[in-house]
Amino acid sequence: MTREEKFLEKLFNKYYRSKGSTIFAPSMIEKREFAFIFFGKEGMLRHVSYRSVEELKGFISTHTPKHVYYSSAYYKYPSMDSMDEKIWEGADLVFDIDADHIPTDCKEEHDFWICTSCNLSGKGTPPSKCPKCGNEKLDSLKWICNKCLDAAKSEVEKLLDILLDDLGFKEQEIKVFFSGHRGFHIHVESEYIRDLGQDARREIIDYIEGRGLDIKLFRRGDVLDIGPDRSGWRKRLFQFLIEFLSEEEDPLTLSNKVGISKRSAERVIRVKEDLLKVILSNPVEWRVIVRSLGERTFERIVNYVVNRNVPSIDERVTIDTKRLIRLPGSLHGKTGFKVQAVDFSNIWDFNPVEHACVFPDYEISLKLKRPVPSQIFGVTLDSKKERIKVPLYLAVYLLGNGGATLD
Amino acid sequence: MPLNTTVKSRVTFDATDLAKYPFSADAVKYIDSLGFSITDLDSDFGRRILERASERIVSAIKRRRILTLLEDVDTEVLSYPVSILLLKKIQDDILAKIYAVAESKRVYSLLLSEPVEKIVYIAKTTFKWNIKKVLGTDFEEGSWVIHFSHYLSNIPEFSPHWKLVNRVLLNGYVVVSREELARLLEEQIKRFIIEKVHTPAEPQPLTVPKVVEEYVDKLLEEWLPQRTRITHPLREVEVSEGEYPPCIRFLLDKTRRGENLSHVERFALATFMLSIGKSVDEVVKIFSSMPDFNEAITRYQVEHLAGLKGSRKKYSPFKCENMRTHGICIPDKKCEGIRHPLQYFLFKRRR
Repeated sequence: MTREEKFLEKLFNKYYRSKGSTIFAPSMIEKREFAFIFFGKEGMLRHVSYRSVEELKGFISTHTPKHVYYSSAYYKYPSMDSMDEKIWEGADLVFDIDADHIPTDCKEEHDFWICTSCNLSGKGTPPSKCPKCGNEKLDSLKWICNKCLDAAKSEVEKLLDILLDDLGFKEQEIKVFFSGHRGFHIHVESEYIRDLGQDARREIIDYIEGRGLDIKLFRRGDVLDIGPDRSGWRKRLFQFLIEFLSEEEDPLTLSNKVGISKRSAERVIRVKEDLLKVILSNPVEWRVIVRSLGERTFERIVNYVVNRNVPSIDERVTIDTKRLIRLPGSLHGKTGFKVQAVDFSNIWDFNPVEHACVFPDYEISLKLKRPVPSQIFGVTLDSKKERIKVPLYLAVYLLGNGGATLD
Repeated sequence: MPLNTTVKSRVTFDATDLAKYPFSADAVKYIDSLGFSITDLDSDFGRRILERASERIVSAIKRRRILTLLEDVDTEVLSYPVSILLLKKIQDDILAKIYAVAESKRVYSLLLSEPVEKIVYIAKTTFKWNIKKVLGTDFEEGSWVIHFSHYLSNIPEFSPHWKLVNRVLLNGYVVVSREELARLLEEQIKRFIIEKVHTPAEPQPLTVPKVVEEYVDKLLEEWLPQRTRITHPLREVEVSEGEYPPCIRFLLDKTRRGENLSHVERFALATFMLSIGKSVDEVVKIFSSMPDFNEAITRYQVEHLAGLKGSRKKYSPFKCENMRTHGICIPDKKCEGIRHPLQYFLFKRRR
């Protein structure tokens, strides 16, 4: 084990033993599989189960894992080695929203890549190969910033809207957690979704992402069934179209964005105002829309407004009914942040340093090993200096991410 | 003859209905009231039931359909659980599925001539579906709505018409027509029967009178030749690369060109190769031309996919839908009507 890992393990241990540590007990804990990764050890300890949260807490505070996971699934025998022997009895519905998957311009500022062969490094997303030595294996170093987190928060909001309004889940069935790194996990526990298989969960994802939406199926005879008094996609699509038709855009940008010819784009701009009136009237006449735009162009526009408005979620997590997810209340081994419950009426107030940080802010000295952004959580870092002094919580983050070593 | 007529919320469920819907909660209650046990099968009446039960299964095998006989309601009602009993003894997934499909189709065609209230009644009492009637959505007088979870579990096909995103969804409930409800129920019944056959019998082992074994043997005689005809021994055939689906050929070419594959692409390629009978060694070799190849890691991962490591689960290749989701579906003309990459290769072989 490296000196840094020993240091982190000691800090984690102190936290897990303290009265302030809170481990969240998943419902029906005895049916869940737990898994751990430890400091200085390779691989994952899996197929562990507990009868109570006390037992789980006991294990965590004596063994001090670097990462703690539990299964979104319920099993009859969670500690059996093979999936068949475990006997699956259902699973919660889980969503993962990660800033990693949301394009934000700040990433060009605070993310780096480094060549594993010649150590050359650069800012932003990694190129396909190292411009100096041609090596294709490049490590990326990703850091969080408030802008990334804000982007993730707005995706969380979009998702919550759909879960509450369209799918009819109750507020008390939904929990939002800060993932401890660059995003949020949304857990839905409801008797209705427990038994759903992968195909049904994929349908839920497709619904949320508007995938497979066929505007022709929104027709009822000659009426396009969308409007402010409708529900689900029939209402959302109405809002998206109004928004789109109220925007000013030149033909070229429009044709590129929507994926239509420049001529079609010019036509869209020409009929925009009339179209807005058609969409705002009740009932919305399908024939009028098709006459002024053509069916293909209208379909492209629908496709475009859907795609730019749907939440960006890592669908694999939701579809997988046997997924291991980070245990709320545990510490993220790469950042030291706690997987923290976020009150979703105040999601915009959440900030990791204030709400998910468990370590004090006395300063310690570190040696920078790899490129770091010039600022993390408001603390300015002088990456030209070899030695830096930072608050302990930031030191944990830099050490966990491999950005620095102990002085 | 039973003349058990129950009227519940304006729904009449009579003796004929018990024979038509022998899986229903009412039929189960009726069967319980008859006090008939497995040991009673060793009697004249028992043989009549066994005869009709086998007929149900044979008819499913030979004609893919089952008729409803209404002359002798008791025999008809009892023959259904006895069919399940016979299938439990045979323990063959393919046969169970063929039977379940035929039985559920039989029910569907009957449901089509029932009033919607009766379809709702069966769905609610037997399968605990959450269905209700909503009044006065402004475009339709009194629609029936079903909770999206029950809807999604029973979608008969993944077509645009059934996709949740294209449906009217009211606060968790999907608006459905009478015919759609019947079709969803057909799907539910199919799953229900397959699950019934799979559920281990209590007490274990399942002891049955000798006469049941006789019928099991007779059924096997009918079934086994059919089975060999239906199933293709995938592992025993040599497949040439030209027969692989285009998505897999593309991935193979990519590795040969010495390009790295993404995690998803590796998964798709490795699971496909393992499924057509390639050994772990052969699959590892395929990946050896990739620039970041590390034999130990690759071997571990391939063994994991083959179900030899980690979760001990053998992973199946993605179906076409998943390939599309991951953006690695590259269809050609022959992909039409194909839902799984392995199917492509079988279709091609048959032609």
